Amino acid sequence: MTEAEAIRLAQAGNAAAFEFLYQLHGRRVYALCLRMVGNPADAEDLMQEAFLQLFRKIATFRGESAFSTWLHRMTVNVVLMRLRKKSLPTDSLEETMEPDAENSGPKRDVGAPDLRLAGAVDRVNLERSIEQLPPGYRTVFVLHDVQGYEHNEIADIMGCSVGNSKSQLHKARTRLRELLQEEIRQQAREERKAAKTPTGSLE
Amino acid sequence: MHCKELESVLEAEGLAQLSKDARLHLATCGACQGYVADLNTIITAAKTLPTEVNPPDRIWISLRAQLEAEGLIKEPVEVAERFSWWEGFGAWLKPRTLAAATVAAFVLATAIYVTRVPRNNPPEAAKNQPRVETLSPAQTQAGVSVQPSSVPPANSGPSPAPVPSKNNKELAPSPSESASFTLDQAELDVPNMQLAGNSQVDIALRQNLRTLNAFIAECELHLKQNPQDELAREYLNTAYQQKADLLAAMMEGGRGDN
Amino acid sequence: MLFAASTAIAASPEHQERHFAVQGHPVVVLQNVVNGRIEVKSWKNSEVVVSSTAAKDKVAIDMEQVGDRIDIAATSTVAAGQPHEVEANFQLTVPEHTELQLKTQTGLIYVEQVTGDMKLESIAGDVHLKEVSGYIIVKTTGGSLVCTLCSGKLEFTSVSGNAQLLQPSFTNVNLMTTSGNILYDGDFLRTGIYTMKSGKGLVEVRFSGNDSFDLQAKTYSGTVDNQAAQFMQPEQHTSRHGNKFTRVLNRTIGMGFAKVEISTYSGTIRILKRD
Repeated sequence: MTEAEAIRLAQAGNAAAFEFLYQLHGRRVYALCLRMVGNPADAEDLMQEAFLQLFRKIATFRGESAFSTWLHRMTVNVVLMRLRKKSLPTDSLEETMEPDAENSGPKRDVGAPDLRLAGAVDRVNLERSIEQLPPGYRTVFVLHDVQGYEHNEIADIMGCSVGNSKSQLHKARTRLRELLQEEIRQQAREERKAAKTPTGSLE
Repeated sequence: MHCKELESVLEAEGLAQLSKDARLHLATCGACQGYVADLNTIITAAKTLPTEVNPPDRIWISLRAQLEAEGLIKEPVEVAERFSWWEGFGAWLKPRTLAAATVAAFVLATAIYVTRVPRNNPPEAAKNQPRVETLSPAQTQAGVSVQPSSVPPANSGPSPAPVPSKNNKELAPSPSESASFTLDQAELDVPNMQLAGNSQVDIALRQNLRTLNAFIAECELHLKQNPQDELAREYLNTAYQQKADLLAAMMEGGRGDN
Repeated sequence: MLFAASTAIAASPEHQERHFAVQGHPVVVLQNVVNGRIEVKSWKNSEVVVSSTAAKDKVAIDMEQVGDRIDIAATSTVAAGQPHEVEANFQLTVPEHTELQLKTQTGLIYVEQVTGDMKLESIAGDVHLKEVSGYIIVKTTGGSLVCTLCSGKLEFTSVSGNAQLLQPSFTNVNLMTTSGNILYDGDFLRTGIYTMKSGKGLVEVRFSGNDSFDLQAKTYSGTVDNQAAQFMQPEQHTSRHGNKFTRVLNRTIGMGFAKVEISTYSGTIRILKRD
């Protein structure tokens, strides 16, 4: 069965077609949800809701965009709505998606010596840092640098401009750099502390 | 170009293709070199993260159930939610175990007796029920029922028992009356059986049979007066199904001791 | 790989233990056609351990392994008339992901910390599940179900057994008992569907302030005891009305993400908010 055939059959209510589409796209959708919310329970919930919305509306799909783009757009909307409900006041989604010219994004101390990340970034601390990104930054970073979408596709998925997508991506990467540097510094502090503490101490 | 200008270029264009001015600045600014190197480190590390993760099976199970519940999956299901009384009766008889198939088979035999098929020209169905041919009219009138162990198992899915009627001039009973009659006939033989050698099970089965019978009687009485009540009909259908399962369980145990 | 062992228990009560190595997610089928308890717990080993204790000279226990499927059957070898002596108790230790098909007559079925599809049947015995996850089907005649901290999908049918779901995380629940009671004390997951029916018994639902569901409660002659009316709004999503025979309550709690349908024929429906 091809994807096009499956879509047509699913629009007619064919169970096997639904399952085909789920199996075809489910792993990427789940990875996206998992990366966005950071825990499997919420990711499962969101994935189910995304597919449910998709299948409810599948009769309206006319092929104007790629099916996967349509699905991922729905997934991102579902995820962002959930994150919006849970987001802290200082990390509002609108703020991260429509940056203020003066106060937008993370700041880089120009000219200041930076801690180099080469050789110090692993999957664990990267994923931990991704979870700390504001939702808008996190979405663009995951879609572009992890999932491999182009900016025009991201703009389509998120309903923003290509320029906005590029800007958000750069800010996400810069913010990740700060988070990773802080994590590495914290690890170094803990190692120094451990080295000073005598063996067997209760500290 | 200054560091801030480079940052604006990176924000607008990314790291892929830098302008000549940007490259010149990078060649001379250690801090910006470090900055760009770090961003590349992050991009490289991000590419190692899996783009696909296997979701748990339960997501599809739950999703499919919801799609069916909302009617988005339009294929026929094994037991449709809405069906006529008669189709429903046949539907729940089909997937029963061998014991329940036996119940239906001797119910069929009983129904044939009730319709008093002429002995010299028995129908095809009756020929397959040896016990039907050997019982005398006197035994029939005494209410002797066919022992389930002597009835050959029905190999095909049993079809609903023919509608019994006292004489040919009467109208056939409604499907609910037929279902009730069929189950009552099956139940007739229960007291004659020696159930599985387990008094606790025996007591539990009989108590639950009494519970079901009382509930069925209540629903049937209500539906006689209010045949349009779908809620009562739904509960009655479920009770019939439970009674068939229960009788099958009783007969499974009984057959084991015969 | 096929192992067949038929063991007649000569002395009583005899304890027997068998180990079965498995590779993937095993399927364990146990038919206990005598009295006795079945207890299932999990561990991290790729092995199924079956421990049985059976009454003397009364029970035949057969165990057979074909690949990752293990079949166990306990049957009585005595004539009817001495039912109270016929008993076989089982303890199963299985990998965390195991499919179970258990059938007994009067003993308790207890399953803890197992993930997988399950079909559990009993006539008079109760079924207790703790931290179990999967597609769970429970059928009893008179036995009751107690489910604590379980998740997945649950179907329960009984004639007179009760059902208690405590702190559940099911996405799909279908409970039906003719004369037993039902208690649901837990969350309703978004997009979940929850159907609870009792002919003559009590159906009680306890929800929390975080829950969000559309509620339909209907009964022919029972009572609807709504102790949480102030937390509900008129139903927003669908139009489902009763008829002259049926009393129907349609309400929405929160955003109405999940769907909860409660019905009784003549039993009481009780709805209350936990906190």
